[in-house]
Amino acid sequence: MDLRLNPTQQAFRDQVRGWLEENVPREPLPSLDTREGVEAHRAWERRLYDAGFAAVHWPAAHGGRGMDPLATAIFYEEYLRADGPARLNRLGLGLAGPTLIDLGTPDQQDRWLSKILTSEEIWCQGFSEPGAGSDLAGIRTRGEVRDDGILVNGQKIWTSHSRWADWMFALVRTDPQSSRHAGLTFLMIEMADPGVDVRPIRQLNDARDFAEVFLTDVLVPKNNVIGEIGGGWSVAMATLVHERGSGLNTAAHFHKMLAELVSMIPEESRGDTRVQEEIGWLYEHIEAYRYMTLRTLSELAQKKPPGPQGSMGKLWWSELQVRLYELGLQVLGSRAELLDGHDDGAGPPAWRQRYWLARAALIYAGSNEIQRNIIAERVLGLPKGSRRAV
Amino acid sequence: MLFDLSDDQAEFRESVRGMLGRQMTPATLRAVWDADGAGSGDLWRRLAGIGVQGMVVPEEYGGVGGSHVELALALEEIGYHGVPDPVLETAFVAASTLAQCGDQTVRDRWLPAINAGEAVVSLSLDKPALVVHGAQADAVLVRRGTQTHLLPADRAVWRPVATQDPTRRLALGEFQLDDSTLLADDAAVADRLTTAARTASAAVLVGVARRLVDMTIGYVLSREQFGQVIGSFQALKHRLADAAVLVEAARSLTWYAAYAFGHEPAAARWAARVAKSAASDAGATASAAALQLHGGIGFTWEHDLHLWLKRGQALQHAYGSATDHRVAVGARILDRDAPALAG
Ligand SMILES: Cc1cc2nc3c(=O)[nH]c(=O)nc-3n(C[C@H](O)[C@H](O)[C@H](O)COP(=O)(O)OP(=O)(O)OC[C@H]3O[C@@H](n4cnc5c(N)ncnc54)[C@H](O)[C@@H]3O)c2cc1C
Repeated sequence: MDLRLNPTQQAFRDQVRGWLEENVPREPLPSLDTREGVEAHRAWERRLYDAGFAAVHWPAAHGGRGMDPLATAIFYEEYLRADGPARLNRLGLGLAGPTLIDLGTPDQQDRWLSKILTSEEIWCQGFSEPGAGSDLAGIRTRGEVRDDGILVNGQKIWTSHSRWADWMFALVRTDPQSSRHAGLTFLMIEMADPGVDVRPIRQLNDARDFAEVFLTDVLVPKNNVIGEIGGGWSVAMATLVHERGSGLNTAAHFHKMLAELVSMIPEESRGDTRVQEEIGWLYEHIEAYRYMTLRTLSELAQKKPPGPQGSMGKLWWSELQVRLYELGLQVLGSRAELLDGHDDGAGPPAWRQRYWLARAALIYAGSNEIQRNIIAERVLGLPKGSRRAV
Repeated sequence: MLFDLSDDQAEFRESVRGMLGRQMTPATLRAVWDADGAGSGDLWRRLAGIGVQGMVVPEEYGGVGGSHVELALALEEIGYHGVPDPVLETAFVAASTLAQCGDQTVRDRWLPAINAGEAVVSLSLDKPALVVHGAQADAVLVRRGTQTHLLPADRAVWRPVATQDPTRRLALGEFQLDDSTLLADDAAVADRLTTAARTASAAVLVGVARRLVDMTIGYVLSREQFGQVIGSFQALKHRLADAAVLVEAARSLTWYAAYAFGHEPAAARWAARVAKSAASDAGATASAAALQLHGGIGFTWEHDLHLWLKRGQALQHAYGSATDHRVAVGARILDRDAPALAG
């Protein structure tokens, strides 16, 4: 146990810090809700790529730097510290890419990886369906296996970033006789196909970031299948393992949010022990997240299986995050409900947006009830519940 | 940067676990209860034999000269197995404090004895001087304000008081502090003493909470109702999951607090508060889940559960409750004049 950076880590940190200080745009980029914003972020991603920072955790052979999980965490810590722009292609860099690296053929890797790194191609995740949410094995979108490819018909839903996406990695049912985990296939769907119809859904926070995606007679070449036809479940599970390591929901990020919250608290509330206790609670939980994460990253960096805390991160950060934004709303008081243009410019709309997005995090990436099931069953060894309606 | 146990640390933890698994069974603990706290026999010496009391005693006094992280690992096992002796006070608080202050004669008198398992040193951080194992201790470290005193047994009168957990052996002291008992009049020394107590008690409490969770997992896997083991009911699974998550959080914070105690003195003070607060929370949540999930049997004197429920309750409030620590940390963060804590 030694929390000091070793010379290699230190040199890497200095290099990252120096580059970011010189290159991070001084003005915030336009919002990702607009085409203009997407292009501005794409240009930023290109600069990261040219400097070799697009995906430091990818192997060098695939355009990364082969950094271990600890060095990757150092990169993200610096990125936050420098206030780097939001990453554009999180699902490509974080999920599609690593899945291709683990399980793609060399041809597939050549086809997609470098364009993920440059963000020339943006990705979305087509897992959830109207009838298959927490119970992902309930997928019904059909894939008819023919000589010339796989003909896909069905519907995905809640597909984030699909409006701007060029590709979707998706799970479809290729064996109509099968049920549950068997007979699923993991494949890459080109969003420009005329059979792909993206209909943005207005979210409760009034953004349109997720959508329904209707798939009608979309013919997907067999080259676009990752793994075996019918072997999609295990590929999807490999993808979800990477969901843990997306690198952005770090303790450094939450410390930054806490600092912002603290700056909002007026002088007359600072002596209130209830406010003090809540701030103390938040600080404690962020610190706990920091050391639980560091434990897991250290285990992974040494190629050890993660300990019990490795399965607890999502539950922990998502719940502390909601409590953090809730305190912010409380501080804002009746101003918290004001819409853009009607407030005094001190930021309630941005804060409230973040609050609602924090609420969404309790649902996506494996709802927190599913997280508790996983902890109870896989970590504590309690019996599996029945998963099927009877 | 690496935040994981080394092979040596993991091996040391195994040796403590193995020894306590054999020597400190629930039946042994019950015998100590029945004897009103007396009679943990030669456990103290056995612990010294594997290097627990001497872990942070410098080598020049015969100690192991090891780290506070190893010691925290041992303390977690001590909580897990319900060891009734004041190990945290002697091995962590007294050994660390005496290694850093006091004159040579004081160090020569106490450090080798602590290392050898021949001295028990307890602790009083505030008034009233209600001290664990007060009447049995060979000396008590006393913090009053910025002063740290070492009070040998013959300088005080200790009146035992009855408590729900007789193994705590609390006693109320009457004594005079003067120049002859003074070790240091230095706020930094006094604060470090308090920090040591918080860090070490967090470690023991993590062990107690983990034991409560493990006992409860065992129980819900064997007890059947409605034709199935009760551990298959999701309401119970989620309660245990919540307790287990808090235990792991507190454990990570405690490892860090112990590391900081040795390596990052400026951060250690806050790390200790945060760890103790998290451990108190884990203890309370584990306690609530454990008793509830055991049903009626858990409410009996005969079942071992209450031995850990009561130890946990005592430790939750000793050396500062979760509320105390959170308010202190929050007040510091909200103080515009104070430098930032971390992040
Ligand atoms: C903002 C947002 C973005 C999203 N982006 C994407 C995306 O890009 N791609 C994608 O594929 N999906 C995406 N999703 C979908 C997300 O993965 C699902 O919403 C999630 O898996 C839950 O599925 P569901 O909505 O069908 O709810 P359900 O599964 O119907 O769950 C409803 C409630 O029942 C609970 N529940 C269900 N099963 C159990 C059980 N066994 N035990 C206890 N409780 C249970 C759930 O926890 C939840 O509280 C997104 C969702 C949101 C909110």
